[in-house]
Amino acid sequence: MWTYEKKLQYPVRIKNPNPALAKLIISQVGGPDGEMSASSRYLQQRYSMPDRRVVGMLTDVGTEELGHIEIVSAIIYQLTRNLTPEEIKKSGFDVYFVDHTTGVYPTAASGFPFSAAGLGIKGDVIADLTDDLAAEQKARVTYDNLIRLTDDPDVLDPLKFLREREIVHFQRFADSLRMTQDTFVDKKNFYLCNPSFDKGCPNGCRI
Amino acid sequence: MTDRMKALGNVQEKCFAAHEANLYLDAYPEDHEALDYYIGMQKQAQEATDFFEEHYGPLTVKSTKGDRFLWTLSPWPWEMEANT
Repeated sequence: MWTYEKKLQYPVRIKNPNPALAKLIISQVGGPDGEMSASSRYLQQRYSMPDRRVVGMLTDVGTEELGHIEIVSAIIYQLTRNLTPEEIKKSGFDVYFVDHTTGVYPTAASGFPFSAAGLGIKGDVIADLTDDLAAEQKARVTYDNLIRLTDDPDVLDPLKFLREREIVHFQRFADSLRMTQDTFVDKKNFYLCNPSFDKGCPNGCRI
Repeated sequence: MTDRMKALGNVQEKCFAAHEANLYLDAYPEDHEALDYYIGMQKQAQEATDFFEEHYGPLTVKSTKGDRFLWTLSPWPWEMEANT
């Protein structure tokens, strides 16, 4: 169960619309390493996570990522307000506009719609947490790339905040992986069995 | 910056600090210093939230503070008006 909070985690106030930039930043809503991908990955990994402490981390980080979908969507919303047909054509936003007008549709910048194909939900603690570490780094690189392509300080400010969060989450998932491995009975063989599936797996981590 | 934004900024700041401490505590629940920080910050976040809600309307649907009509009618978070 979730309760919505009617506020952004970090403020977004963009003075100048810029549809060309919106067309790129939309990738962090619905692209392969975007916020929708992150929140779905973490929240859906919880059911096969054998360590309750890690379930807590996935819940709290996954919930924050839902808030990040909203921050990036707010950036898109503000970058695409009050547009004229001429601005839409000139900026190259026309290819998005024709299907979605100025609605915020989860898609990659390339035009590929949001896909669950890239979500790592493997039902194995080591595979899933390693996927989460990679996901945070890939999202960080995407923010790095967006920051390279942005010169508006109003847009850079929330992008830099979101980039920082990827680094913090990477750290927290590294903590999670270590603490769950610390509970493994067989520390010489992390891959002996899958505690989420194999009965009597000595790598229990049932905490 | 409006008084509303100042009050909201205070909520965002305190809630963020508490949330950040919470993620750390998920991994290090035995860290008493971090726990004290979290409890203190959570209290400040609650005070900031109460102040905002009394003046500008509810931030969650469960809130009993402020004008209930503002749950739908106050600016939504992505609007410029909610951020300035």
